[in-house]
Amino acid sequence: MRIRRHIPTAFALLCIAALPLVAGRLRGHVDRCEVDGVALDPAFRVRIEEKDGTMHAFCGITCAEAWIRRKSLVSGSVLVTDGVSGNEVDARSAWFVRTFGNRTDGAPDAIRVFARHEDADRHARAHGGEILVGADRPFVGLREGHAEN
Amino acid sequence: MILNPFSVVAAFAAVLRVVLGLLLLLAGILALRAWRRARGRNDGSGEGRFYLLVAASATLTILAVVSWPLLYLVLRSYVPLWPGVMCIEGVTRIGEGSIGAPGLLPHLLRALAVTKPLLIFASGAWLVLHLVNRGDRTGARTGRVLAALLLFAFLSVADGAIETAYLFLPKQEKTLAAGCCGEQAAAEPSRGGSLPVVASDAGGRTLVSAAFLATGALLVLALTAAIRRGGAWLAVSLVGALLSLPIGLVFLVDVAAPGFLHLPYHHCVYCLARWMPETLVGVLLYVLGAFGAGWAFAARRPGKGGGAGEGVSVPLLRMARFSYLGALLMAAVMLGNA
Repeated sequence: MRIRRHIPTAFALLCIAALPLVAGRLRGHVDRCEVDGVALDPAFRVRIEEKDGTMHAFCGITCAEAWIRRKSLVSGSVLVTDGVSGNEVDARSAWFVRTFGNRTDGAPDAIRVFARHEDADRHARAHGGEILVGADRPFVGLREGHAEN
Repeated sequence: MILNPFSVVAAFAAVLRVVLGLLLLLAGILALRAWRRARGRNDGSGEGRFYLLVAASATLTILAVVSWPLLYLVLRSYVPLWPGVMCIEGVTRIGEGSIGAPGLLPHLLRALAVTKPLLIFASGAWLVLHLVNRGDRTGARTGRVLAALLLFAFLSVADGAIETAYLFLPKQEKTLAAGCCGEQAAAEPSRGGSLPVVASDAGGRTLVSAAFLATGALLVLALTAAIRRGGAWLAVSLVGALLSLPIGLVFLVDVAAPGFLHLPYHHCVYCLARWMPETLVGVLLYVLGAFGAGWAFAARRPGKGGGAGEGVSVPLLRMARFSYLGALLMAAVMLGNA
């Protein structure tokens, strides 16, 4: 009789315990930026591959650089997304523009990525801004390859 | 003031809390004096005013409870107004570093984060004491009921005034200086949000998880002992509940947010609540557990005898135990899944 009295309580606790599992199943999986948790937009995604092959994804350049600083990472491969074609390109060969254009395109920050110099130049002329060169280029301190990090 | 349906309702509720709280304060002081005089004469004439106070307090209790989620709905509705702000955490930082009144905005929100739960706890404590006093025909706790009511009214005025100030202060022209859930998070890599990060490495997180689960388990045992034996176990449960709150907060910021979201550098509890709303159930249960232990203590303090208080405190202790068990179970399942 005493056990029967506790059945509703036990059932309620079971429901509470099951809640995160059910909610997780219903929600499905969303790829998010490792720094600020924003859902990743493939048009602006940045991926960094560590020396052990671990891949990390970020919503944009600013978050990827913040992550590198937090991890004190000095080597790794960085793949950025070309703003024109949507293809991933190596960050070393990409062109970066700090844009003055408005942010209605859903970009997570003010840095735009282009695979070709002409596209970067066209964007800077059309929207204002500057092509980042030298020490201003993102990921400039990051060495390619598998050196110690 | 930023005008939208949420802010208008919140402003109305806040002003109403101030007005009603001030009226209650005044009426409560008069009732307390009348009750003292009546007690001196032993004629019970001070109790006529008391029923009106109960009705007003009940209204204020509903307003207090509603105002807590309403504040976060207001903050959520502000998110799209500033470029670079991605969640409530960003909104809470608007005004940081500003000169003049807008510089007060983050401080006002921090104050509200304290007054809101205190207000709800005070309203519950008043209600519990009132129920106990009503069950006790001698009315021996009337003084305590009135004292609790005055505290509740004072907190209501303070909370309402702070919220009114926050809602009416100019803020739309201010921009986010830096912070979590704003794009300039990179500028401040050591901070995960408005709450400090205590455990950022795996070892620290394991320690926090263990402390959280152990505190919760011990509290469940203490509450069970309080239900069966009462007495000093009530005080033990209360101390445990008070200790559990900071531990729970650290667990939420350092373990739950980064772990459950699978974002090791993201310590934002607002994002956790937004993307995994089921965690709000766990947080609510945990807070309810702590409040339940406190309310049960208020209903039947050790050494003050059982009597009318027992009929109210035992269900509260059972509720607290159930709430802690539920929160712990949820946390354990989510930790297993993380």
